[in-house]
Amino acid sequence: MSDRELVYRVTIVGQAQFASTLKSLTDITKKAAQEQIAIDDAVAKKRRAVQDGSAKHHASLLKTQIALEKARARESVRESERAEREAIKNKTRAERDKTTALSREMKARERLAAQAQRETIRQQQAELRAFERTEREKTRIAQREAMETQRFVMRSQAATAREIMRQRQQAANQMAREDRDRMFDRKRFYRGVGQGFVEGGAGAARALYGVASRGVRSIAQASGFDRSWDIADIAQEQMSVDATLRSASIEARLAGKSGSFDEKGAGKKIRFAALKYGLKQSDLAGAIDAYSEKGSAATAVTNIDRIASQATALGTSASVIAKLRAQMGLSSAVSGKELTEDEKDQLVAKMHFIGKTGVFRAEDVAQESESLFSQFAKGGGDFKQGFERYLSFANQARVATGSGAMARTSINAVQDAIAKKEGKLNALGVKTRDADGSNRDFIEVVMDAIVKTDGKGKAFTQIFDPSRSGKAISTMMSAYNDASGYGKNKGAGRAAMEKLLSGDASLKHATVAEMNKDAASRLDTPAVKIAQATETIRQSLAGELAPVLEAFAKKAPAIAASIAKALDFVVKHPMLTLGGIVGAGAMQGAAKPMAGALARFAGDVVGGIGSRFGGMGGALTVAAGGALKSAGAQPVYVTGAAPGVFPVGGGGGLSLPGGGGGGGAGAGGVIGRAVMSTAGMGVALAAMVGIMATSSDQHGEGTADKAVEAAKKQRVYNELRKRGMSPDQINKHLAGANGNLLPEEQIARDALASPYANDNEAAHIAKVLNPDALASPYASPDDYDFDKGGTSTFRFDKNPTAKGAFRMPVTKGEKGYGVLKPVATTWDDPEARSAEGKSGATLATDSANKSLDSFGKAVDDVTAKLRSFEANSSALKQAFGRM
Amino acid sequence: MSTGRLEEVTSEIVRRIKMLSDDPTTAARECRAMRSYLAAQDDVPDEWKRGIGHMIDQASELYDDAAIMRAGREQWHR
Repeated sequence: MSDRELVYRVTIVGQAQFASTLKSLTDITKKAAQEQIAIDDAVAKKRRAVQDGSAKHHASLLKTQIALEKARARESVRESERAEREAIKNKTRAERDKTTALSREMKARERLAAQAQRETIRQQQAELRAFERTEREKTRIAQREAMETQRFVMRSQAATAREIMRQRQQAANQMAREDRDRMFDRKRFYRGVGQGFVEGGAGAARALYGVASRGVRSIAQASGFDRSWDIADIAQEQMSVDATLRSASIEARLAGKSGSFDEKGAGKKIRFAALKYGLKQSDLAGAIDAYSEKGSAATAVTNIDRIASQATALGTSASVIAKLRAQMGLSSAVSGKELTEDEKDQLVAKMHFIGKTGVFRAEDVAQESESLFSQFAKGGGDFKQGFERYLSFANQARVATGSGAMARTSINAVQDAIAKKEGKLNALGVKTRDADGSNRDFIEVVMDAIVKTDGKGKAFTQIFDPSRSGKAISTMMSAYNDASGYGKNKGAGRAAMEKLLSGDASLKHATVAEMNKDAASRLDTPAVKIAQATETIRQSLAGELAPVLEAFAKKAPAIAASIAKALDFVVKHPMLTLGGIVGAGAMQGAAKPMAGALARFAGDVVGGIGSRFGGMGGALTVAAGGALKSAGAQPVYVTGAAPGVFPVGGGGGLSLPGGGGGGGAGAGGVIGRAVMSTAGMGVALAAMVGIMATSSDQHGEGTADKAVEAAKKQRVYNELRKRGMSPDQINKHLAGANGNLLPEEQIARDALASPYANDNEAAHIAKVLNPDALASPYASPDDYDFDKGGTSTFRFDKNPTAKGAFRMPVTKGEKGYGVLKPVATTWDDPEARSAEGKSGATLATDSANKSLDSFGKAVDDVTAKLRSFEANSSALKQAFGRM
Repeated sequence: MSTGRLEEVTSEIVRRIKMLSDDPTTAARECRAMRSYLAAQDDVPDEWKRGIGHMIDQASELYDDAAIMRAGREQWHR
């Protein structure tokens, strides 16, 4: 035992035991005292009993009792000692139990705490998971939304892009249309060019008509109009008919029938037939052409009314009928007995009668006529009979199959079977070809095969499948079987088939008169009435316009030659051209009239190029005008004419036939440079040369480099800034103008191009003065009145007599009328120079240096283009030569 | 639309065409008047009207051209 424990026991336990023992002793003492008192009482009682004497017995009893009591007391002491020990033991046990309980409680608490902790963790984890789930869901939703948004944005962007593309396409189409319109805007062309042109100018008109007629046609087609609505087509149709008739006439002369063909009379017949049957003249001319392949055009013309009538009855084109009739004539002539026209009519009538059932179409028969008809008169047979037998065969096929369409299929199958199973037929002893190797009449082949096989047996059915080709010939087989007694008398069977095909009673009703009735019936429909009405108007117009068209047409070769010649000179003498032409009349012949044209051309090209770069146009046109003036020439209006002919701005889309779209720009550049050189305008000209050259690059082969483009844009920007445009406006202009004119320029150009420059128009205006019309934006009171009539289809120009922004720059009577009024443009502008950070001299030098390089390139380019144009002009000349 | 009306309109247009002036300026103007007349005919088929109108427009432009060409020639000779 350690000291500490000893101390502990002595002090703590000892005190407690002492106290406990003391208490026990005290209790025992108390108990002993109580027992002593009791014993004393018993002794006293015993004494008293003894004393009483009566109860010795009691005394012994008492003794016993005392002894018992003593024993009890001892027992009690022991009991108390046991109790004490028990108490100590119990206490110890209790303490131990208590400790155990405490320990258990602690453990339980710890377990609970652990459980609680785990639960907390679980809850936290669950919460975390829930949170994560929520977050993930949120993220997913957000992502989904983002994707939706993105998709929407993409869709929107795609839609926007599509819309932009569509708009761009529309804009491009619009530009193309405008280019095309300019190209074919003869009004402007003549207004600009025609006023100064003399012989050459009139030639230009004609050249333009040639171009325009194509253009008008393409415009008409593009706008969805049928060609029949097109005036160029009317003219062309008329020319085509004339050409066909001329061919017929030549053919008649070659055939030694001079004087037998009346072209004018034939023309009248065609026109009359076209009117009568609502057909186009071109269709009838095509019929004559088709007829002439196999027969005589003159014959076709003679019979044009029959052809037109039968085409109407059969609901086909005149060409189909012509081809059929021509082939009938040719095939029958080969057979030795040429059909008369009336006999052809009868055959066509029968064809029409059977064809109505749908067994065949005239077009198909015409298509196969050459090979089909040649079979009909084989072996010296009669063509007419052969043809009629074919028609009867077709009719029998219809009877056998029950419908036209099935009969058509079945007849084709018969012909196919003969062609494909030729070997099998030959093996049966049936000839499919003549001695010369050409096909025999397929009906003959069919009859031979039936006779050989009695229309039965594997060999026969392998050739003529009963479910297909066999159907077409089933009535023939029935006739054969009936007459031959199923092959007993083959001769009688064959005769029965021949009779069936030659005496088709139903064909008796197929008369020409019936066919004509059908034609008349077909003519009585609204569609034909409309066609007739249209043709009536077409013919009237064509008749009235003929002289006008002729006037244009006569001039065509001259302009082509003039332009080619002049442009050739321009290419060879780029620096002399304008001054030379205008000042000294260096070019003879075509030069003089071309001067006006070239001056306009040059000015317009200059204007056109200028217009591509915003405000430059004014300066450039001034340059051209100034140069002309200084060269002693009468300067001219600069109009929208030349770009129409030489599409500077069009990128060469629609040009003169065969291309050469860039030629105008190049030529303009050359002339423009000549202008500058002649006038010697220093800085301004040097800068302009740069612009010209770069624009030539741009419109030429697309070789513009970015630096040049940027410099050009910068110059344009500076120029526009000078003119008071805000940077925003300029940017919009540069980004969106695409070379369109500034509004004020457009107005000025439109005004200059208006008809009011013309004396006659001015007189007309004075005569029918209408203030409303004059104040309107319409080009003329007529146009105003016309459009107010409600068609809204007429194109108009700006009214130059209107006030304000619409005012004509120079009016009649003023000095300079007929002369482009110069627009003051200061090129030597400090702001412009400072904007580029260079002095005027440096600017000029730089521009000149830059220009020299591009100028060289441009001249090469121009030369090539002009040669190409010249070549095209030759082609043009040739084209017109053929007209 | 009745066939009669179509014939009536056609006849009128043909009549006007036949009456067209020899002077291109006047003829162009007459074409425009003809166009107005046609436009005012409400009971003829639209397609037909458009087609015929298109032809008349072209005729009118052709006369315009002829007028301009002639005017240009006269001006030059002056």
